[in-house]
Amino acid sequence: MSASSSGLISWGGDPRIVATRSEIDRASALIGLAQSRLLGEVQPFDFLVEPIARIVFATHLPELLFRLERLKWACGEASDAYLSTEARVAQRVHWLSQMIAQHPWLEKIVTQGNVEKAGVATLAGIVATQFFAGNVSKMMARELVDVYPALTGLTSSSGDSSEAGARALQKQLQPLGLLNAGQVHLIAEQAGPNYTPPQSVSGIAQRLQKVHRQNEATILIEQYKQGKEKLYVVYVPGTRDKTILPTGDPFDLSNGVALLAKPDSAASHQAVLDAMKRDGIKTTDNILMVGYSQGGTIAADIATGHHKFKPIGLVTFGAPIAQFDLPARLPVLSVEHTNDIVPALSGAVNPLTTNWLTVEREVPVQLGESHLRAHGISEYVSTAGQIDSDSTAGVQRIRERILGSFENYKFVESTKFEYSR
Amino acid sequence: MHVLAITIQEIAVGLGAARPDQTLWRGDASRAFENNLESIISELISLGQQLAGQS
Repeated sequence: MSASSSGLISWGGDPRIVATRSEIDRASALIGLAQSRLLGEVQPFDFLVEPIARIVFATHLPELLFRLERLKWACGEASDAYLSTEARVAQRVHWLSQMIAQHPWLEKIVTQGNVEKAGVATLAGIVATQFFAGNVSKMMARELVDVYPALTGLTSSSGDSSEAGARALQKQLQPLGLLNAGQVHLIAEQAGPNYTPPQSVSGIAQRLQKVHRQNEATILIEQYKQGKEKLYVVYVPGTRDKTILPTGDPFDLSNGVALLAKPDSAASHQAVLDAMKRDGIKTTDNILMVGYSQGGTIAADIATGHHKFKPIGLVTFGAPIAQFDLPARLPVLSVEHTNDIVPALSGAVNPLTTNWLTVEREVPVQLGESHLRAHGISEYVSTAGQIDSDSTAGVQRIRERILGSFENYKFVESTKFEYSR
Repeated sequence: MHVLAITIQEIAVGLGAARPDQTLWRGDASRAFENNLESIISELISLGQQLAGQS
């Protein structure tokens, strides 16, 4: 994990450094096994066989065991240093579990099917996280995701997935006609602005900000060409309406829940796939997916490749995407604010791999000011500017890979697709 | 019979499986870990040989 003077924290994206908790744990477990086997050779009765050899062995044993113990300890240190956020999450503080245990009325509110209060209880959990800054806030959000199924009594918690939490919420609200995806309708298709390829991460973020701030739910697709090869950039906006009830906007909060529960079923997801189809994107064309918040989750789902498109990169801002199994070769830039709870709704921490770069920053929030500011797209545009001037190896490498995708490509056209449901 | 020597050699071989898989863990820490591990493995092998010679 690297921390720059600008306050950015980043991990991943550097092929020289890769770490997975399972591999470190595996190495540590094998050392523990060797220690047990060595100790097993100096039991009292063992000395009846080859006594001299065992005495010689026993004199060497303490130092060997000490060195092995030190190596095991180093494994734990490495694990924490690389994946400290994950380590903290893995500690399972269970703030919310305890809160529910201490206040059983919380459970009753939700299981009575009182939709309004269920929404309030969910929101209360999220708001509770706002009292805590930085990674603690994120950890709280992950805990919420983790314990929500237990809270509703509908599904058992998987312990590491946003899907279980979202499915529980969806199962509860759907029979009442809420959270229904509905059908999306194209209301307008028009030419977008004339662009040159983006020269910076902040350039990408600014275009996404413009898309997100359109009056209607808008998806922007830019087309670039180099000879016969085409490159499309798909900009997907974030959650626009924050009420739990479904609205005419395919990018409302109810769709955010639907998206986490079952990505393909969400109206917002349908809208993006529809726009891509209408724009004529073929499975052989290169696509760079860019998304903010809910849009980042959709972008990541498409970037997994299971929709048969050919992703060449993914850029997300304030989006929960840790749950996706993204292709190892795909350059991924995931920008998150440590006091933004939305990226934490994935219930996991982004992995530390060669091509997946995560950049974090804590947004300063004044006393009395809402922490929701940390999720604001303008704050993400500002973070993108800092990423452009960051010289950390992983940041430089992934930034160059993503911006380098446009090399020799010429702008052809851009199209705005507006949707309602 | 060199039962103990053989067992120690086996433990050394088993410890070799703790070498990090480079696709899952690489970097300075991984290298430092592997160097230390190799040194312990070598010591175990040499101890096993020494004990075999004594029996």
